[in-house]
Amino acid sequence: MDAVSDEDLLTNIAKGDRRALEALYGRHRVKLYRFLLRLANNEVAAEDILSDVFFDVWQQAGRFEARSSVSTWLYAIARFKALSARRERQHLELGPNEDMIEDPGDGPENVLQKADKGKIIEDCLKHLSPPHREVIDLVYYHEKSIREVGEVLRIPENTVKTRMFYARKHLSELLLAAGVDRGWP
Amino acid sequence: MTTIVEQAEFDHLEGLLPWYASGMLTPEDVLHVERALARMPELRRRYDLILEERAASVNMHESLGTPSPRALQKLFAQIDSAAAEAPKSRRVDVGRWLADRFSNWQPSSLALAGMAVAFLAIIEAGLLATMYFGPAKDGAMYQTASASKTATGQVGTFVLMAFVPDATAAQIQHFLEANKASIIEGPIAGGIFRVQVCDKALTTKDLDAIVASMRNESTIVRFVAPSK
Repeated sequence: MDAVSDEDLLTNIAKGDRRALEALYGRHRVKLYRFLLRLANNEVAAEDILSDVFFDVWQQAGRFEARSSVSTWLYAIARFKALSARRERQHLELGPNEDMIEDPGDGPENVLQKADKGKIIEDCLKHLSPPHREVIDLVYYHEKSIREVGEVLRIPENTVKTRMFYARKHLSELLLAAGVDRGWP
Repeated sequence: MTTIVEQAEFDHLEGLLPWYASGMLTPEDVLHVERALARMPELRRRYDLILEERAASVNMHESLGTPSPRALQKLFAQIDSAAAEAPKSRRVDVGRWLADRFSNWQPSSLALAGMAVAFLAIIEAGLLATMYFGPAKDGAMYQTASASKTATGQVGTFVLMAFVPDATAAQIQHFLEANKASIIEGPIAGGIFRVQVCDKALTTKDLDAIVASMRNESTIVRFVAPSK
């Protein structure tokens, strides 16, 4: 267990303590990077956004109001930056973004060949739409509560539950298309 | 036969299961879910599906790797770059500053203002010296001739300075460039400017030498003294 809380680190960062920033970065970098990678679909872009997130933390640490946990605040910043970067890229490319389209490669019909059911579910998770992908990721991997998911996604708690339900329903449909009938929905 | 109320309860509980699986429910909801799981076989079956999904999600994320050291290097490069930009933005372009303020003044107005400023400056120089450096101790005029960091967070060595009334903007600009100095603040009362003479903290001896050298420029400098 870390002796110094995230909140204490943030207080020190607000005073210009670089070691505190490095400590907070070290604590959250892997999960945030993976969260960003799922949104950006590109390792370099995910790393760039990760740097930008902590640069914002360096500049705005004094403004943190503890309405949410530091971790949830970081996810909210990360998501905002990832979506901004995506919009910017769409604007520059003047066309639809591949991130908004479910990954066409290795589609559900092909993953049937893969014996392991867990692997098939993993593949289907990659084919979810971005809104469904992020809610499932935040709940299952990032272990965010209903309230925290709502804070990151900026949606009401009831919408969080509804979105999670439809994300899971879509996942089951992808699994069914891949030949895995789970008897639900 | 399932009633509407039972179905509504089932749907509500099923909606909580993903967070139950992640251990992110309140103790009250945990109790509620556990009691329901004990009496509802179909809910247990749905929960098993969620456990499968969660395990796959964790495995998939674990395969995504970790950020390279480049991300942290970029972060600190951004911070260093921002820190380097900040002091520059506080510096004053003296030529532009003087031109902006005096461009509409007539020569006679400038001369009168200069005389008034000169008179005030002589009186206030002594007051300022006392105010900035405090009363003399052990024969020393000030405790530290240079300050590594001021109350406003500026780093370096500073002097208080006033220019002769008929010094032109070009002369002042030239003088500052020759001495590698920058106006940081001013003018305060008496036409005094706060001028940075080095971006590092200098020793008393070095600062005295700079002040003495500046005093020799009497055609431009009317007053100069060390500042904290």
